[in-house]
Amino acid sequence: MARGDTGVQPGSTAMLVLAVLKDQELYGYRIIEELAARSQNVFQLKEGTLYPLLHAMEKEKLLKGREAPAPNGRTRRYYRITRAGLRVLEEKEAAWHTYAGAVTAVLAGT
Amino acid sequence: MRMFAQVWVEEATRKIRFKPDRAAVARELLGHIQDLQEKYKGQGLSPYDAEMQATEDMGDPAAIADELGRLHRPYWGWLWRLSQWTLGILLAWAVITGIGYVRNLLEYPAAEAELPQLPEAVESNGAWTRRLLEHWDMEGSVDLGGYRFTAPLAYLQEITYEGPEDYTPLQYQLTVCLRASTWRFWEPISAAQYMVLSHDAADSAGTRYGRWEPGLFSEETHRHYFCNTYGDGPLAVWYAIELDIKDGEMPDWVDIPIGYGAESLRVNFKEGVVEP
Repeated sequence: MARGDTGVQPGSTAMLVLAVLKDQELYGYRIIEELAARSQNVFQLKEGTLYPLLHAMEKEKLLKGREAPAPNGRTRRYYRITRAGLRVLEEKEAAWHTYAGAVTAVLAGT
Repeated sequence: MRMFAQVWVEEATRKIRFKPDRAAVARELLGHIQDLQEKYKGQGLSPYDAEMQATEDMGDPAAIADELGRLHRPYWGWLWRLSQWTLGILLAWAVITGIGYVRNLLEYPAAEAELPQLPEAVESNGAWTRRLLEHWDMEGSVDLGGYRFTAPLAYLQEITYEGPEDYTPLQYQLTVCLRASTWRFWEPISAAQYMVLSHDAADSAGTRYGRWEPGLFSEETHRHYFCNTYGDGPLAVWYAIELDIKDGEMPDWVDIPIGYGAESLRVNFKEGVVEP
């Protein structure tokens, strides 16, 4: 199995996280907010479960995290997507579109 | 699961074995809980309820602990830590050895130079015989004019002459091994004798010792002293100061002049110290 394949299935939470981080660097809390906002609250992640996912993706080098002081004085860990992450996102997005298109076509035929 | 934020975080991170990682993840999770708390407080919840609701939202800490423990395997962390320790120990070793080496180089540049040692109990060449009567290991140091002086060793010898010539030598000779050192490499110590022979030495009995020059001093008031320098390097010089103790009566102390000024240091045999 090639690096980056684990866990990131088309339509999985990992893919959604990659998508959210595509153009911005965010910390965990904001990633959840962003996911909820973009999906009109369809995707509401259980807060704590996000972190094992983020850390696994960082281990796979799809994300890169760094600790930095936030404006409120707290230290936060910000995540940004890596080049490998972008590549995986593109592949999974394409696979997702194929899959979704196929499902839609099947449904339309009923 | 409703619990205090700190408890939740400790529970969720307890399976991360590598302590620095555990602390970092704990910071991250606690930050998240605090953000949630702020949100709930903004919605009108009491601080306590906000905290309880926040940890509830975070989910089951035991399940998260399992996941995090699996992800944060300690091997690389410990290996990294181990390599840092090794590097630290190697560096410390290099520094310590380096300092020792440089100090040796500076302080004893002439390794073969004869450094002061207690003479044998009896040293004789047939005509001259020197008997060791007493010796003192002296402690303490005196800082004068940027130099540090110590006199770790002093000894009294009886000298007799049984050679063919009609000659009466000194009977008793006191030798003080004086060492001057400095770290001021731009001002190395002069190995010349005048460093410690510029003017008279004096002892506790009121006797004065002058540089030996025949006819210059009267025997009654002055006795002679002599100074050998050896083991000299750029930053340290040894002087052996030889004082004529005519009757073998040891003074309690001797004041030895240093340099051209009125500075002197006192070698106190009774107390076994060098003092200003």
